[in-house]
Amino acid sequence: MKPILETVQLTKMYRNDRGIRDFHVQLYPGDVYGLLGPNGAGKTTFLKLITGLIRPDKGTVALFGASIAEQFEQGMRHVGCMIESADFHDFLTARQYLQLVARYYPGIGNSRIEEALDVVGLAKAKSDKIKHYSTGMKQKLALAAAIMPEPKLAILDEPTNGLDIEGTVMFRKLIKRLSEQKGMSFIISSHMIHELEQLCNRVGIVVRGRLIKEGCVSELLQSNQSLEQYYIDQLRLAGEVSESA
Amino acid sequence: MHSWKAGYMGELLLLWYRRKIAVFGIFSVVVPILLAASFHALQPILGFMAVSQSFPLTMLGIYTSVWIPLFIFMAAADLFPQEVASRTLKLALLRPNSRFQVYGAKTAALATGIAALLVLLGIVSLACNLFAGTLAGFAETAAIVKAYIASFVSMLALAAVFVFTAQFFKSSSGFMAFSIVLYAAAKIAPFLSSAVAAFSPASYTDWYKLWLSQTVSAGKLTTAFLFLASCSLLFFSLGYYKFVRKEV
Repeated sequence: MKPILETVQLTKMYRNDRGIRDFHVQLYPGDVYGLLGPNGAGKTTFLKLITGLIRPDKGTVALFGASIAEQFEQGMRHVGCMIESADFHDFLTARQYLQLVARYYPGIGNSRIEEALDVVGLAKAKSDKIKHYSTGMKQKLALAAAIMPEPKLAILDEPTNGLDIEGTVMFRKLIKRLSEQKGMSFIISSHMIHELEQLCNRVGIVVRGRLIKEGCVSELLQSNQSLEQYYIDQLRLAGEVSESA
Repeated sequence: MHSWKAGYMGELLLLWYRRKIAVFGIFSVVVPILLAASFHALQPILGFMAVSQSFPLTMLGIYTSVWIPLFIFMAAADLFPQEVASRTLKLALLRPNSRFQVYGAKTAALATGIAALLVLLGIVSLACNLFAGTLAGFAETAAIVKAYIASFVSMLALAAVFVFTAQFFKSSSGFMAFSIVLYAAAKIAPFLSSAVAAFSPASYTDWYKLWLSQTVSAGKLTTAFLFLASCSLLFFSLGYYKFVRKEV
């Protein structure tokens, strides 16, 4: 099976010595890949690199076999993203924004836009200007925009930030449904480790810019109490947390 | 091509939805009418300032030296530095469009805005003539249309300069302030050194006058056109060089 995402020796270092080094990641169709790590470990940098928002110092990224540096358009055709904070042109309504997004993907009509708004629970607020939205509502809109084109791969950076409990449950059910019914793949960077434990089949742990561990969640859970315990153990081994943690 | 078209339409709609662009459009309609009404009212006193057949050309001088440059600064600020400041640039960059397509769509939207503004201003100015009862004949109207089309070329070159300049800014207000100062300096510079005039796109804002003159040679028109076209291409390319290296 060909990987839908492949990074080789992906490296990007900032002047403050933060960034990522030598990331080798392969993602296959149907994977739900969780990216775990402390704040500032390099998770968002990795996601920005694979979506071309920033350029690597070294290494390559291929999405669906297309090099992101040379065939960006082809690589991103089947990718939906929400990277970093949910920022929008706040003078638009949610519906207007999704209509703008829909133009990029052939075959998305008004019914799909309405469906996406309905799925994330924004149907009632669809005609409100985004500037009147709460952080959680903006997060839901970003999620709606990412999944609306039904991409083969969705890249979600901290998707549950600012979501209320119902929103978090909605998010979990949505990802599960899209993964199981539509075969959609996901990369999810999150601190909500319990969510990732329920959603992901694979996880990667990033510490100080390095991908220190990767594994199948089911296998990790056979030898560990929980994903959280495994994660803390790995951080302890890397010297990121004290022995008492 | 489909993605580029989507990006272009998206940028156009984003310009359209912005309230200040709508306000600018309303002023573009109101100002010529107010000026025409004032001129008409003052005609018995001042005589020569009546709404004559050349009113659209008189107004074109104001449009190309002040009004449209202001639109260019404002629209370029919204299309580039404002998108960086509000972190919305990534919304376009994460779509299946190359950086060149995103940059091209934004620049094309600005060019379309300039063309639309010229058409709007031209129609309003001609309408003022119509209401003042001084509507020009076919030949004069054709000359007016020719002047407005020629103005588009010089405004495009000016837009390319400021699209390039916009790539250095992360705040729209900073860019606006700098652009106004830069433009004013570019307008004053030819008075201090005549050599500047030949190589500054800002000196070509009244280029349309050459097209109205019967005595200007085709060679001079071609040279000026080639200069403006080269400026547009050069600054468009330089702007892209900066844009493609942007990390968001």
